[in-house]
Amino acid sequence: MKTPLIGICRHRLSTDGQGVTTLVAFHGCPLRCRYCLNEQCLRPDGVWQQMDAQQILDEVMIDDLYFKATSGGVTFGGGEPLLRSDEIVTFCQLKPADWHIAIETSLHVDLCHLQAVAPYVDHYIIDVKDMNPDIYRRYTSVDNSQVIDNLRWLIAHVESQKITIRLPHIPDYNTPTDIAQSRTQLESMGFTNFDCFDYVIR
Amino acid sequence: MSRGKSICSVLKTIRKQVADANGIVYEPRECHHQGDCRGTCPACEAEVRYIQQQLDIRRQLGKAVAVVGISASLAALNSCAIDNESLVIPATSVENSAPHMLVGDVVEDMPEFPGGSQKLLEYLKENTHYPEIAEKNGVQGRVVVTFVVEKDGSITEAKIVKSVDQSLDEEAFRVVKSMPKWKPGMCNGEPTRVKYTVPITFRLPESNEDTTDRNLSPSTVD
Repeated sequence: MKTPLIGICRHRLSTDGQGVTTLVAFHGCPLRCRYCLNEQCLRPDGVWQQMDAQQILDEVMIDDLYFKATSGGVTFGGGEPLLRSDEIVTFCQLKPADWHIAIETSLHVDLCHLQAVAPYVDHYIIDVKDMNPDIYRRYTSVDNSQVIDNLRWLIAHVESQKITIRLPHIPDYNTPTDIAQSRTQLESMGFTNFDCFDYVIR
Repeated sequence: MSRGKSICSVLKTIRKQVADANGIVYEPRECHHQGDCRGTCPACEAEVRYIQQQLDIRRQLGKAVAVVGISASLAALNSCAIDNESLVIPATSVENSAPHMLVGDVVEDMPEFPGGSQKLLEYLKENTHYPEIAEKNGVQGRVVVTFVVEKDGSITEAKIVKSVDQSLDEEAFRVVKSMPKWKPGMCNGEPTRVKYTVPITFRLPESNEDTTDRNLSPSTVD
């Protein structure tokens, strides 16, 4: 089945996963973040191309040598890639065994999507934003209870070393104190890798 | 160094490391492009295809190839370094690279033996004969021949770049010169002259093996 993409970005050097990676970015997202980086993923005219798993594989295969040599591979992002879990699973079943697969997700999806891709994903980059439900709702317009449920499932089934939690400082929405509270809560759940950074508003 | 040039430099280093790990003759092409780039270009992609072609030949011969994790240390790089334009990777003499792999300026499609690299292998295997004198003296080894595939696909400027013995060199030279016309390399949709390298390995059977067939061992080319 063809899936709408907003882009494929090659030669990302340790930007989102180890080694040389190619970002495959899907269209569509359940969140409405105030400072969304890829707004085209929400616009009907933001679709770059429609591709099925085999076509995506053919497109990214050009960097097979770099992926294998650097222990890199493909990172799925978007938009929300887990909304396309069927295509990701098909892709992973077709890809060369030595490629690493990473996924950048908000986890704001039904658990079944996460469970479907889990056997194939080598690294998870979870865009938690903020654990405080009020801050999360204000910033994304949606509730984060599903995210927290999925985080619990993830830490119960995947080694913490394979998970990076993103905790951004979001100007006008959270503070260093909020970030520290989110981190404490996540550490108590068992997460160990954190990426704390500032959103740059352009 | 700009972001694109930094990426290009890293990718060149990876190509060189993979080539060196597999005994592939390769020197990154000197880039004369002024200004920024996207980290790759048709000439860089042609170099990748050349290395992959050489790796395929080795795989087809049943040889082990070393690719996985060869440049894993580059994983230590981080995006901040690139964004700050401070990424400096030892570029293994990229700036002062020796002879170019390519004769044309920018080659989009490498030249190809009729039927592909498997057919090239078969041709060399069937048409290379072990010189009697070398066989008698127990001489074996790998001769590396370079040549230019002309715009019309003909083979010219064949040259031994790694010699083993006069008789083996002459046989390798002869068989390369005897090849049929290739599909020429292409640049901007136009045929272009491209330099190509083929290593030919002469190996005598082990003494305790059947020596009735004293032609080349199965690994004619690697």
